[in-house]
Amino acid sequence: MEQKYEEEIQMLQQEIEMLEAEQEETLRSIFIEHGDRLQHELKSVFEERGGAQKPTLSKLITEVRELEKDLRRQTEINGIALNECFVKTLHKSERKLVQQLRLAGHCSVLLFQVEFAVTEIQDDDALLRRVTEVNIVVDGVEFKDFSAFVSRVEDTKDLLLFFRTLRTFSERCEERRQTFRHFQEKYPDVVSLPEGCRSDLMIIRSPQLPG
Amino acid sequence: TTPVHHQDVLTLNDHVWPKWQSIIMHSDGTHSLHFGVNCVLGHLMALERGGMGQQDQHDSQRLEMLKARAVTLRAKRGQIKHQTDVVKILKDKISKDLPLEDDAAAAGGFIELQKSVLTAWRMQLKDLQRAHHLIGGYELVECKEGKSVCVSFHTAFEGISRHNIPPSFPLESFTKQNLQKDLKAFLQTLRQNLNALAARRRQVCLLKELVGSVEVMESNQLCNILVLMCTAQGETPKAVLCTLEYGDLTQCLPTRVSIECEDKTLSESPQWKKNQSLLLESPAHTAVLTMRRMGSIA
Repeated sequence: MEQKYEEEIQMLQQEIEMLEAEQEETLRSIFIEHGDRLQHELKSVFEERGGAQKPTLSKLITEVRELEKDLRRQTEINGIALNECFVKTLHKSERKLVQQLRLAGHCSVLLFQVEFAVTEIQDDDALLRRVTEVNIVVDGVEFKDFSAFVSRVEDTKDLLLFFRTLRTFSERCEERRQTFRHFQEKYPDVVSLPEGCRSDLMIIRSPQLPG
Repeated sequence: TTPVHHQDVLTLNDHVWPKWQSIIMHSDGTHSLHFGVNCVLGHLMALERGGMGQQDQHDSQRLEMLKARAVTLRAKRGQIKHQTDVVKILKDKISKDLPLEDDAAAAGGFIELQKSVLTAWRMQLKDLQRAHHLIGGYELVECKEGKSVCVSFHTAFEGISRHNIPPSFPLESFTKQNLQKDLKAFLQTLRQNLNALAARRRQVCLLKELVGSVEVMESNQLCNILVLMCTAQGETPKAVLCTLEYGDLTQCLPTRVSIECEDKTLSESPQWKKNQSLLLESPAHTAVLTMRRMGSIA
């Protein structure tokens, strides 16, 4: 008698796991294929505030608002804004999770696209996370000398280092930009920025002295 | 809130925590460090469970429990199956560019579709959250309605990460310096130091794993000093002691390397001057492997 229940319980658990995975994938596919339409529908859900507050939805809406708030904080602390985030779960079991991620976003004015796979294995008392197959694309005038670093990071798979460096690099570029602009505004006759204030080139030419 | 133990993870405030060390910072300025909080709680709960329930009542209680569990799971399966169907309807309508609400649809149906829309957005938000955790190296969870915050760090070196904070880690001084004024700076400093620590520690592990012929004479928990004994190749093999000092704890490379050998001509030789540079400029295990490959050491 006990055994019959135990078997049913195991079967139910497996079915539930499968259904949840199916639902997750369908939800993600809606976002990937019809992101715009989804945002449109979302707007009308949030705007529908008048009259009957639907109790079934309000708990979800609160949860979603909390997540949005947390996301804003993470974006601020990390200094990285993500515009695109596609996740594909390749394997999920009690102790192991394998996913592929494709992210696109920007750090101030610097654009990036990063693709990677991550494997997480739950040991008895620790979580082991391994990042593989890292692919990085960066875009922006400032990235002229960045390619050696990007290749190295792709080899060492050091995602954390890449984003840490991107942040610092972006801060320095911003400082440079402000410095150049400051000089140009203060000394418009002498200073010129032939490639704009985002480049690494500033020319100082005094009208009195030669050269 | 009382944490709930479920298999190998801990659920606190509906957030699932794997078994990591965590720091809890309270808004009144105090902070508490929790090492293996989940392990301790899990152990306590297991002890509690083991103590309760007499053996005679055990069997009939167990049957009742199994029956109840089966009923719960059957209901859950039904619920999820229904949700999955609604999500499929949502996807179908969206891909065919149909409006979600039409005159024929019952009011209940439309609300369900709206629920799916929210669920899809929640899924994306959770994915974005996960992405931030992966690229930032830490997770921040608010507990006690915003009065305290729990942070977990993930460190990585050469693509592999696992973590625990050793007791000798100067957490106190970091929190004194930064925590009150600037959470962002605090997290960044902590992150930097933890990552460097993980990197240094991993180098020592790799050294032991990959290079059997070099002996690690001394190392410590903070991994700010590493003393290696190598055997220099030559007519007579000689013992060479390399001392690596890591003066900057935010870095994973040493700030000073000294080479000692009984034979002074060896330690002053250009070959060993080069080895000294190698040890200063590349991770310890990489440097040692290069030295071995070049025939400098055994």
